[in-house]
Amino acid sequence: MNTELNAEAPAALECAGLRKSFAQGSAREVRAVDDLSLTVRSGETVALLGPSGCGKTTTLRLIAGFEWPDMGRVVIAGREVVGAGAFLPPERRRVGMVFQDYALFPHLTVADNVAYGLENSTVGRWTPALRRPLAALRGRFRFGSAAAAAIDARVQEALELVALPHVAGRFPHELSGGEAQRVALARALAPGPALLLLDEPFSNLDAPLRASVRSEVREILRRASTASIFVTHDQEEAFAIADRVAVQLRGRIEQVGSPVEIYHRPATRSVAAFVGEADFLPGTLTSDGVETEIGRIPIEDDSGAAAGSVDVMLRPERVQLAAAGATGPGHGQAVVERREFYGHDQLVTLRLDSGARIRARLGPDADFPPGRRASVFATGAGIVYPPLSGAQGPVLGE
Amino acid sequence: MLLPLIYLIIRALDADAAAWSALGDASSLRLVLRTALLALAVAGASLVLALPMAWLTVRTDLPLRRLWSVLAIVPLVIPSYVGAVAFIAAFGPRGTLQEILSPLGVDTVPQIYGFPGAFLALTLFSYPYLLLVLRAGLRGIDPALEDASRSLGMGSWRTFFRVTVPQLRVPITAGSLLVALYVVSDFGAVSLLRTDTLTRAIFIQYQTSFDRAAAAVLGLELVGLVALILVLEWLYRRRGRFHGAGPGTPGPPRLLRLGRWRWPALAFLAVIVLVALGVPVGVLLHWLVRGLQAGEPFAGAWGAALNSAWVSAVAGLVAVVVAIPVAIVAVRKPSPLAALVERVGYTGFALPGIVVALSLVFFGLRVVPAVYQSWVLLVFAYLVLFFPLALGGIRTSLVQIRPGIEEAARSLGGSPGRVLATITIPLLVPGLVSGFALVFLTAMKELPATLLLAPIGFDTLATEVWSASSEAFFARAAAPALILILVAALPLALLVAREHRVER
Repeated sequence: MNTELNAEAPAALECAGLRKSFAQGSAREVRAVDDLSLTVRSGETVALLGPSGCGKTTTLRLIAGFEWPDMGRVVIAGREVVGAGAFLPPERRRVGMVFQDYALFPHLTVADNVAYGLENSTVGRWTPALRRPLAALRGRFRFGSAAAAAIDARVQEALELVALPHVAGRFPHELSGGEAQRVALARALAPGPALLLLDEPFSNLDAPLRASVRSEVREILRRASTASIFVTHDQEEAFAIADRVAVQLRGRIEQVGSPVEIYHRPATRSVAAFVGEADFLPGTLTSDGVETEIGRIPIEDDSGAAAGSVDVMLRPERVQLAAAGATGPGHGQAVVERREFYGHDQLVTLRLDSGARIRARLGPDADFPPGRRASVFATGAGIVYPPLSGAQGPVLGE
Repeated sequence: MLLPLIYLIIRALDADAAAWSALGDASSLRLVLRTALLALAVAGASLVLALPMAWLTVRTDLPLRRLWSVLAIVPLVIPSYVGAVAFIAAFGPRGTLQEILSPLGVDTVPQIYGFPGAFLALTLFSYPYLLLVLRAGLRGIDPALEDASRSLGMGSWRTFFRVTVPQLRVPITAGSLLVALYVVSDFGAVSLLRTDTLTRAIFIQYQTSFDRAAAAVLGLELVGLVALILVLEWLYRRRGRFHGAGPGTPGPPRLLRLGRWRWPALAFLAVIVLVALGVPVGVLLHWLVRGLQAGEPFAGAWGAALNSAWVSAVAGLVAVVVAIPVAIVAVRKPSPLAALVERVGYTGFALPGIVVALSLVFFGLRVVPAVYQSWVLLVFAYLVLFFPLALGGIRTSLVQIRPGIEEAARSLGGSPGRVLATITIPLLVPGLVSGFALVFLTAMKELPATLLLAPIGFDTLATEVWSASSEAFFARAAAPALILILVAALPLALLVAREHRVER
């Protein structure tokens, strides 16, 4: 992680109390972003993870300057871009953005696309579309000598960063999906932005390509050492790329932390249910763990829950099965309801004798067909949450 | 854009009591009734022609189906007054038919002038509007519905009438109203064929009497009739929503085998195409050749073509330049005000050319005499009438540019002005070109506005056809009329070419 290296530098981004509603004042008012605060340290990659409609794209657009917040402030690299009365337009924020559909300019070559953000202070700024015909006329067109050479060099450098120097002369429609993705990245990085925003950057790629592009992008971001935020609804993607993950649910950020923290110590029930598979079993919290139907489960030290009635969250991979009737400390009895076989593993859904449902992730060789009885026990520690008010039975996670 | 309508109302209010009371008298009522009857009759006859044509060209194994689809639509490009001229030259006194028949001892031919003539000519040149709508409607029907009907034991004829036709209710009403609107606003054909409808009465009132306020009153009557048709159309469209196609993409339509029925079907199509396309073009070519043999000078036609071209080009340019900001604001920054401005931009669609022209004559005489009798007023009339074409073309292009493209340019540091100049406008070029072309080509054809507003001595193709044919100099009308048909055919050719490119 780069975060410790750059502890001294100013944060790349600070958002405080951001709020944005749509259809304000009407009955259909939607609070897309609700009292959102987030800090991205210099050189760090943060994933903004949430289900569709949770306001994560709106958050990105507020930071980029395509939406006006109702409230709150945004500071990029120490400069306030949105605050009390201040609003810096997107072109002056030094924020690079990679769009979901890449948004490459279809009438410009790859090189001209990448050069677009570099030409703001040169003679050529109004004429990228004219440059090619002019170049054809003169054989070789140079607008402004030194400045032009610098731009050409920077374009070359940016395309080399994404390992695509050979496509400079092509048009966007002549690129494959993965190439277009990397060109969009090069274009956003070329002007040296203080912060890079990526909106669902891999959703337009098909599954086999996605994994390889993902690791390439991770490598490019690391080499460019530009602070970045990327929005995704895919937890696997978020965990694989990000230094830190911010989980956004219903407009609010519920938890920020490393992928390991988010997965193993979700701050709230909703985060637990959204990130990975989670089942909740009712139990009683005592000084040495939680007493449940499948035995006593130790809890993480820092749970900080009050003794008494609680729900304990279990990930399926922490639930194990044994042959029916096996008894011992921590064995509950259950019947197998359903089995989903994935090849490298399988997910077995069980109904405990109390009626509660719980899932277990087992190796490919375990044989627990539906209808068979089994003994259930947990390994490792659980996380406890206060029980849902009014809820009688246990809750099956999403 | 609203100026002509507002000024027309102002002028009509000036009219004396007599002009207003004339609104209710018998002759005025007859005029309105005759106009409405003509519209109704043409719409009905167009439906009778277009429905089987649409079905034959879309849903059967008719031989040379593609060719017939194109030929059946092409009469659309013949301006109604050019078609009327061709009919008069063919069937009128001293016309081609009489020439052919006179050696056989036949001296009189059936009267082409009057209501039946106008009905025939307008039907033959406006059914293609309905045909276009019906073809699209037939294509949109999910063939699975017909399969379902067949599987429930219905024969193909009963399926056609009980499943297919009911689903065409919306295209049928929308298309018929379109035809009715066209007939009510038509000036050229009814005037040349001497049928008294509102448009012709307005023109005669304007030309012959000093009381031009009475013409304004008639003009308002015409606007009222158009408004009535638009309201009817709107009502039907609203109800139509409940009858829209179901979800799911329609598969390719099943083609019905015609068997021996294909011969009558071919004959039916051939007769219509012959009368609507073959007769006008053939007769005009015939007169052109005769004129050339008789040493008819064609310098006039070229001068008129040049005049038509540059006035229309100016109108096209102005329309495009004005339409760019209107389209951008309407699409990118929607607000009630932007929507209102855009709506107002479309009024030209609803105002008949003669009404706009009449109103601008008043306006020019009273308010800005400096531009009266100059091409500026003519260009303005074209702008009012055809601005929607430019706006529509540019709007369509703009909607296809994803806003993400412009946002990407902004996030790369482009100022709004730079983004407009380097990204938005270059990407809009196809829309600008098609918007310009449509305004240009439509303005070339426009008759009533040109007739009323062109400066004295400023001949265009349209006025040339008009003056030559109202004096029965068919040989002199032939060249400009043929040029106009070519000009009008261009947008259709471009449209077809583009559809092919899209399909590829």
